[in-house]
Amino acid sequence: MAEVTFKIYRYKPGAIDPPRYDTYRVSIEPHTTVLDVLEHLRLDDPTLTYRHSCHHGSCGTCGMLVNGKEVLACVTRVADLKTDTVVIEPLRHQPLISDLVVDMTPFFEKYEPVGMPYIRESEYLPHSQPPEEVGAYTRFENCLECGLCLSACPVVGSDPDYLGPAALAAAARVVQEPRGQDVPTVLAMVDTEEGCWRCHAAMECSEVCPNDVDPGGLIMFLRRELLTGTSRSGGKR
Amino acid sequence: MRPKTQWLWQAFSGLLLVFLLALHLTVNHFAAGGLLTYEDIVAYLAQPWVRVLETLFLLTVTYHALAGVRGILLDLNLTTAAARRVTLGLTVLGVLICAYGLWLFTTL
Amino acid sequence: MNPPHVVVIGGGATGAAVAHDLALRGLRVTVVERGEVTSGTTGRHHGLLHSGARYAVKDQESAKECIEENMILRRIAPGSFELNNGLFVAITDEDMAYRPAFLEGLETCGIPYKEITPQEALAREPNLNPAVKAAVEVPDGTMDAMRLPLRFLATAQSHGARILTYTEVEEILMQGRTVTGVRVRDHVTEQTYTIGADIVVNAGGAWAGKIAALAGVDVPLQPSPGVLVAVYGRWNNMVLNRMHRSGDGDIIVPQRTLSVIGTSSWVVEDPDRLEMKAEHIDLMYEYGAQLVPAIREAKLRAAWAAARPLIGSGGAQTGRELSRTFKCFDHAERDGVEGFVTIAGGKATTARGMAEVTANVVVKKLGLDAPCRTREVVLLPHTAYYRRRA
Repeated sequence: MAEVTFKIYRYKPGAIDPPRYDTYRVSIEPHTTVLDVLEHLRLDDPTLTYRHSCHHGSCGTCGMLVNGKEVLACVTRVADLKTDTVVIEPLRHQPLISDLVVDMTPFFEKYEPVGMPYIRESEYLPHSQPPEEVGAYTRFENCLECGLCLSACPVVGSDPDYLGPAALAAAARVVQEPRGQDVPTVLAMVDTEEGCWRCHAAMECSEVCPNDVDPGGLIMFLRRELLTGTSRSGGKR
Repeated sequence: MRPKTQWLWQAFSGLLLVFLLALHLTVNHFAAGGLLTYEDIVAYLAQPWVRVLETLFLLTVTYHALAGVRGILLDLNLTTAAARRVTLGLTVLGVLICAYGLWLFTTL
Repeated sequence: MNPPHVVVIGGGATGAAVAHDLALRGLRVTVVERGEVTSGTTGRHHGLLHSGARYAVKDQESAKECIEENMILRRIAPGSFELNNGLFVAITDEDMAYRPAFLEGLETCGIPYKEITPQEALAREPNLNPAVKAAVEVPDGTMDAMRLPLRFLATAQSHGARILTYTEVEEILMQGRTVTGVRVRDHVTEQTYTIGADIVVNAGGAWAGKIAALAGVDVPLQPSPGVLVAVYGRWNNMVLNRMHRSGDGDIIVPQRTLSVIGTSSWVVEDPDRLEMKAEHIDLMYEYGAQLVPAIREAKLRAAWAAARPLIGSGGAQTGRELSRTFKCFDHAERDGVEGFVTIAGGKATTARGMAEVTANVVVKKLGLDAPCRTREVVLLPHTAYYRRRA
């Protein structure tokens, strides 16, 4: 068991304003995650606010900056950080509500219009035979809608009109697997100055993505699609 | 120009620069075995194929550089009107640079 | 005249479904949740859309609720489930001895099933323990623990409901023996204020006992945590269950790119102090490997604890002996406290049914004639929850 210092960003409009960092000392076990620490601290300080839900990196709710890097708190073990001091801050480039809580509304304003169906065909265990009633196994998309990519993207940071890596990646997934969506419409949506052509290919989005969506790679895929026009027909590839 | 076309030209000019820059450096600096004199340069540029090459080089460098500058300026979250002024301004600048370069040929 | 106003305490699956049901019936609804929505038990559950088969022998009331709600949810929330069905497999002779009672239970509860050969089971699930002796297919499925409740909330919101997150109930306001509203603390501004209500619904899940205590009433609730383990890789596509009496680590739910093994079960007094038991991680691996041997080598993504809200009084040892069914308490009848209703117990799968029962009690108390419509109304997509309020 080791003692670690946590410096946590605190801000509440009108109450903790300007923002400050609160310092806590917490004993950690090998399996203790950053989210476990926040849950532990909230027992003594119910004013500490943060977002969380599934606790295993499947819902995408607990995105935050840990030592300056975008992570999901629930799958980030404190021991793996290998530091005595852990700084926890809210995600960048998204409106701050309170402490570590950011407003996801702008994220979904760009993401929802793309209309990516949330279930896709499962590519796992390709040799297995699904039951007749099911036809093909399905699974949820990789994107957890956590917003880490938006926080890490330098273009999002300077240009709020940029569609951003999450929405672009969703658009690419529609092009790859339309599932009834209209591909030309989605391609037209991203074929704009603030769409896939805006990306500077810093690739930070792919670096921080907790579920291997590779938004940067998918943006390059969209560019290829638009240049070669192989998806113009809108049919299945 | 549509963003797609603009991006394609940016990529194409970048690729072209790799070759043209290598060629330019080779014939002007390495092949000559040191600094050229004014007379050497005038003689070099008198050849028609060199003029074609250097003109292409001038156009490519100018386009690629200014398109790159535009990409960075657009990061400043400009209004649509401001973005249009940036594009116009850089286009004018590009035309002036190219015109000046081409005019220099005629002075030789 | 304004429609009556109902305050729902708790932004988990139950509160979300209750808000949706009441809003559809034309009531004004305000949901108060002390943290982010689905941050209590809801988000942390196994992600299993139950067919009821797990409870078909020992807990048939819950099994029947599950299969009925399972079919309704597939209709009203398309896109929120991985379509994969479930497989109950017998590995040992003991499991085989359980098989007749299991099949009989499925019949009794009306759960559709199909027995398949061990060879077919292995063709469907190549990673399954090759010692499989029998396999029964049931309409289990994988659900998104957070996004299904978000759809309830989004639809409620579109019918005028207000969802107040980071808003913690500090006091239940009463005039005499009648609940008149709540005093809440807004954790964004740390201001307190009161919200008046014609009826307050306690949908606090494992915290419902703590909330009821604020109104001076007691609900027989036993928070019962379990440890769940998510490993990297999708080792099976169907939900795999051990065909035996419900025990530890006998379900593997594939979820996105992960496989989730669960659960263990014990009982606690305070759902805020769960104390994740590290030794249960090894147990989950060990039990999970009995279903899918390759799980033993799978890399750990996360281990966590979630508190089930089980109905039952003190004396429970592990929580396994308690039913998974739900119960709606009208505290006027039970404790002489008017204007206060608690919905307790249940499962994420049965949240809509729990809401229907609760809303029936609420409208009856208010003297309204407003039938339930949640069996038919297709829910908005989860992304609609984040739409900017006008």
